[in-house]
Amino acid sequence: MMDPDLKDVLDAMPFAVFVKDGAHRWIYGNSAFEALIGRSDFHGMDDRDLFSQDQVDVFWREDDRVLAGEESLNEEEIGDNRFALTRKVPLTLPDGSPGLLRVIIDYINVTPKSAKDGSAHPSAVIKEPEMTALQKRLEEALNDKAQALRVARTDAATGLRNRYGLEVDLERQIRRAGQTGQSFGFALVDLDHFKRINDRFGHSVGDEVLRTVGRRLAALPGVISVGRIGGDEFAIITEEVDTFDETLIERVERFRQMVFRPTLSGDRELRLSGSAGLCLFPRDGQTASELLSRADLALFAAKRNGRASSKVFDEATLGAYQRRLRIEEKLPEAIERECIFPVFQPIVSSHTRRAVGVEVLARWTDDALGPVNPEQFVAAATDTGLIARLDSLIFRKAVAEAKTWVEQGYIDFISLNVSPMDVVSPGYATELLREIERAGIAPQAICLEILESSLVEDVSSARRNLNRLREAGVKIALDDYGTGFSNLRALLDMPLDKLKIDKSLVSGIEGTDKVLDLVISLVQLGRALDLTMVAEGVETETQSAFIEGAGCPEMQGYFFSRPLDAAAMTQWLAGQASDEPISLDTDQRDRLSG
Amino acid sequence: MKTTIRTQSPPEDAREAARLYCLRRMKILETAAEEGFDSITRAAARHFNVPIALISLVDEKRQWFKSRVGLDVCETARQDSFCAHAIGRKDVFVVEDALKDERFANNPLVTGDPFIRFYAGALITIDGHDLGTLCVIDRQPRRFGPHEQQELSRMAHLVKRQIKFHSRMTGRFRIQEKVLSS
Repeated sequence: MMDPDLKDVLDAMPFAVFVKDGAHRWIYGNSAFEALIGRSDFHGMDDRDLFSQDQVDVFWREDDRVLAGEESLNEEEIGDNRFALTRKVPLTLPDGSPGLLRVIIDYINVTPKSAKDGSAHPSAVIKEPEMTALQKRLEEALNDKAQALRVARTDAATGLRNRYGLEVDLERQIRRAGQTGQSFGFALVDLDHFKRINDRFGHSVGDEVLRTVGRRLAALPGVISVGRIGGDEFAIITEEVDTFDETLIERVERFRQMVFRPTLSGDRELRLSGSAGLCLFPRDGQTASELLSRADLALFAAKRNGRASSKVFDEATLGAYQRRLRIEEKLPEAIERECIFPVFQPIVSSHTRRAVGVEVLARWTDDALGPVNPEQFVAAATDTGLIARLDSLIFRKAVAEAKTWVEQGYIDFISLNVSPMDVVSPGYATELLREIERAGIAPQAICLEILESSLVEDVSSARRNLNRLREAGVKIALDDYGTGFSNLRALLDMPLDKLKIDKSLVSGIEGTDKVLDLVISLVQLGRALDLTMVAEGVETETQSAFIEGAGCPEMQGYFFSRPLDAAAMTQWLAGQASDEPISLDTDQRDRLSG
Repeated sequence: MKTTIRTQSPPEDAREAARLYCLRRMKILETAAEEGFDSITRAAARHFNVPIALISLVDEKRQWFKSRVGLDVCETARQDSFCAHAIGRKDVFVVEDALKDERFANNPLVTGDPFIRFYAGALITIDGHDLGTLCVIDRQPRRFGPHEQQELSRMAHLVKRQIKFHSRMTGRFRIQEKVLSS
């Protein structure tokens, strides 16, 4: 079936329809419109060619609101005592610029008793006591429409703007700021782990949290519009912002902390956590969609930063995002062609300072991208669903190399990182045990390093997998302990053999007694729970001394060795074999006693 | 030269009695070696590169070693003890060369085995009482700057934490025994 020519359809309508560009010029009109104005050469002309200046002012005020994204239903005076009931909607023109479409739905003729002259203002007419039935209908329609508009732009749960309403506000603010040459801020704000709040406390508490966050956002100084634009995502528009500098970054972060301070629900204190990404008009984007995408990138960067942080968009954010896209693009092939390979870092005994195991880390150097940060490609693999294949590739390659070291007695175990997604996926334990068997290594020589976050998502599934693996002899280590939640409950609930103290604690151990106290407490706790403690990221001799002094039996870090490829690791292990275990040899003393 | 540690003034006696009471309450004297303490002396010996490191607790008439690296005896007489000198002082007590220090030049631990020349001891203070020191000892004279003193003092802090932990654990076991026997 052939589509009818739209031009014919529009020309057959008795209602005038026309389109204006951003400069109020007519760029289209149907036959009814031609009939209304009595001419067909209107293309490129505007209201000034037909109407008096004060009428034009009224039209254009309305037009500007529409061009800024607002729909309108209104009456406009088009001749003596003659009004047109018109509907105007924003329209994006083929070249991407904003325009507006106007349909005249009805004409109203009024004969005011006290008609003075023909230039009566439309609103003055509406207020005349003797309204015609049509006028009354018109007023009702306008009220309904205004009500409908409010509803269409409001988020029911919070009473804030919804996505559409926020976009309307944003368009308007862009127009306003564009005219005055001002700069303003646009931020996306995201509540972390909202699903968990809903799951644990129910939806009414969840909604209450959303309302609280919305209220706090709206109360921030300089905020002129707040919208809830997704399940747990908010957007805010600020008034004029001075140019970008360090104090802006600090201010944003301070505001973020204010918004995500704890809240009371009943008599329960809920801890909130959230991230924010801010960008500036016109520095970072000139259109609503540009501002949305820049703020989104900044938010993404803030979340990558380990959540609960804020980020103001900059060129580096964009660069990082583009790099991230390229990493995602090249990752499947890199895994397919096994371009990602394992490196090894020794884990030493604090007492003997000789290796007891190795931690396997992944390395990838791409021809075009250069060396890719493991955190980045692991995150990309997680987000693109390739993490299981990546983990499996690293497992096979690493165990093939490191098996020899175990067999020759250099080390007792090979420690591998497992992604949270693997740990919770059903059947993971069976699959891994099969791989261990295939690799021809004893399960007792395998240690899996898991993150606390894998325990939060689906505890029962994670526990099933971990129990199964432990029964087979595999050791389980909790990685990066001392960052994030560091849930004590997890230590009791989860089947664990080891606890790895995060490098941020290790690096702080020289500085303050508090950190030293915390580390010794962790070690004492670990001892009470029968967990082997491992300190990560030991970089100096002094750190190693305090870690040893705190009673932590194993450690690793650059002070001992950076991650090495298999050949270099073989050499390193062989090299330490000839050393004395602990050297309190007097001959070495001069070095330090100086 | 013999050094008299205890003075005759009554306030001093009272303070010493309170100190000894505190030491007894910790229930640590005559206990077996423990990894938590041994790891500190090992770390200290390694870090300061000395042959001897001790956790020395000063009892009424002796100093008793909860942990020791590089020394065979488990206690010595208090009157010969370097650590006893540290008690009641502030910070870290350092003797860079015992032979040049008239208080120690004739000390049997200097003139005979283990031939101490250098001594640095950081106080182990619990509830306001100096129970002993974490000390590092060398058979050669050494300098021991403020930075090293601070490090030693932080390691002594670890000892204090271990003693407190130890006393809590023994306390708990005692309660459990009571419960079991009742």
